[in-house]
Amino acid sequence: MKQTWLYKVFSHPILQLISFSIIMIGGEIFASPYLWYVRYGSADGQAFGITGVVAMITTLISIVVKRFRVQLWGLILMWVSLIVFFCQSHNKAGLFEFPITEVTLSLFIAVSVCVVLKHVTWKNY
Amino acid sequence: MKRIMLFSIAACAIFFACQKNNFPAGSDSEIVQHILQKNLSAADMNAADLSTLQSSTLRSGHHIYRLHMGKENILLETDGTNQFVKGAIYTIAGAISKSNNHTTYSGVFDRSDLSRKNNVHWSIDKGFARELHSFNGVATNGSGQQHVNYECADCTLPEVTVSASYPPSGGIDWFSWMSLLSMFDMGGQNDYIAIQWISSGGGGVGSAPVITIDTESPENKDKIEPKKYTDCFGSIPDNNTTLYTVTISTDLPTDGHPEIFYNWNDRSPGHAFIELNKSTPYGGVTQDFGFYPTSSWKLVTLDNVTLPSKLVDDGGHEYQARYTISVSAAQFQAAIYAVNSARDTYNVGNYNCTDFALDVFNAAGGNLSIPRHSIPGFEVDGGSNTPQGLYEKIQSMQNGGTANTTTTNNKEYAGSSKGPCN
Repeated sequence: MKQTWLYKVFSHPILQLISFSIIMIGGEIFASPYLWYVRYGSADGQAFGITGVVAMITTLISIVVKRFRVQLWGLILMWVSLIVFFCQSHNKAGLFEFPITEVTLSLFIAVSVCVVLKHVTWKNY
Repeated sequence: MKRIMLFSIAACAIFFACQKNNFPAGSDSEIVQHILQKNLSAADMNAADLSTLQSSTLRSGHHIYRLHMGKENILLETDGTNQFVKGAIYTIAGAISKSNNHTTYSGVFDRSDLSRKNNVHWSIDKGFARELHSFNGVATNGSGQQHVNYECADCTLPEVTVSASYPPSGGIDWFSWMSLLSMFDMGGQNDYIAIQWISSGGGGVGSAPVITIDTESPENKDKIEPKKYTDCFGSIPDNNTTLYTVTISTDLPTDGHPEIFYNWNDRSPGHAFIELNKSTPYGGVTQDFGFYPTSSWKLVTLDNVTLPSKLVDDGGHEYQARYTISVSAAQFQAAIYAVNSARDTYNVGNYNCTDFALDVFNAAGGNLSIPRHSIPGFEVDGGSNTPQGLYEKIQSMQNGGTANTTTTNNKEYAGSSKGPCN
């Protein structure tokens, strides 16, 4: 796969962090980006929150050490965090009710695919 | 590519494996006093303790009440207009024992109508009512000791089964209300009771805390015109027998846990609402009001914005604590005015559902101030009024002996609103 600038952007750890953080989750009174859930959920000892924090730290470390494999582990942990969150949440956090959740989650899925392809194709920075 | 496919399939499979849970809904009034005066003897009336009154609402709109009368309990059912339907006096006393992982109940169960007729006296031995089975000996029941000799009618299943036990909490959960209904229409024999025993402690049985949750969103609640709701109070005459009450209720994010600021499962920060009731011995009107933003999607935590608000009908809404005050006609009118002039903007940090409920309650002379807490993501100087703060205040008032305060570790439900008039 050719390393186009768009592909590089979509597989970049920073966009991975941003797309993970801005997944919009509806609530009873207010809606929040997933970063809010990770921030306060981890402080409350929630598994999805702690996993989310570890995932974000791992992804940040991948920028420093420049290792795709570390970025991939960050991505896997992000998905674990999201899956745990959506599964424990009633109505799957409105996943199939609120289009904005689906749109922001789709962006994260697109970024995830690019990161995995990057890992498969290039192996390293 | 194979890895990507497997990764995608696994993610999809876990998403679709998730299950959606729905939970049921289900009241309260001082009309109980009028019913008891009509149906109880003078001695029983003196023994009835109205401060222990608990209530719930059935889907049919009927209200169920329970209160203590000495060591006995009174159970009442009224219809949607607070007319007396039926009642019972019952006593459950005994203990739960556990052996070989088999939990049984032994004790006595007495039940009668409010007029002390149609009595049922059972002595329960390991779940079986001795009076209903082959038994030749001395039995102890509510009437004392007596020699009995019965043929076995059905020895297959016990009449009393223990499904769960709870430490004393003062509360009563939805399942218990449903179980108590069986006591209304019991005959003399062959009735099975479904008792969810409120344990007085001991017995070697571990407690089974119940935490239940609901999911709702502002989008699911229709905006109401409060004037059409408050106009209904005009249908009840103002005279010496008219009772006016204002009740403030709080629904915690996680039942029984005021320390938890947010429920991660249903994504709820909790709720507070107000109930206005005007009644006479011949009927009454109850209306419940809640304050919400018009849409949750515009209230993003990173931007503590002010949004258009709406009042909704919160009849049947769950609560974990409530505080009721009797007010004068003028104070009741002030509360109505506060409802009708509710702010048209909502702000999580500065003016939320709890602020509205407090404004109406205090307009009626409630004089209630609650501890303020910081709402994560919506922090404001001095903190915000929250459902948790309201719960803490009502709980401390209850512990201090303030009348008409109720807290529960599980769910109770506000009565249904009459709805709009004209």
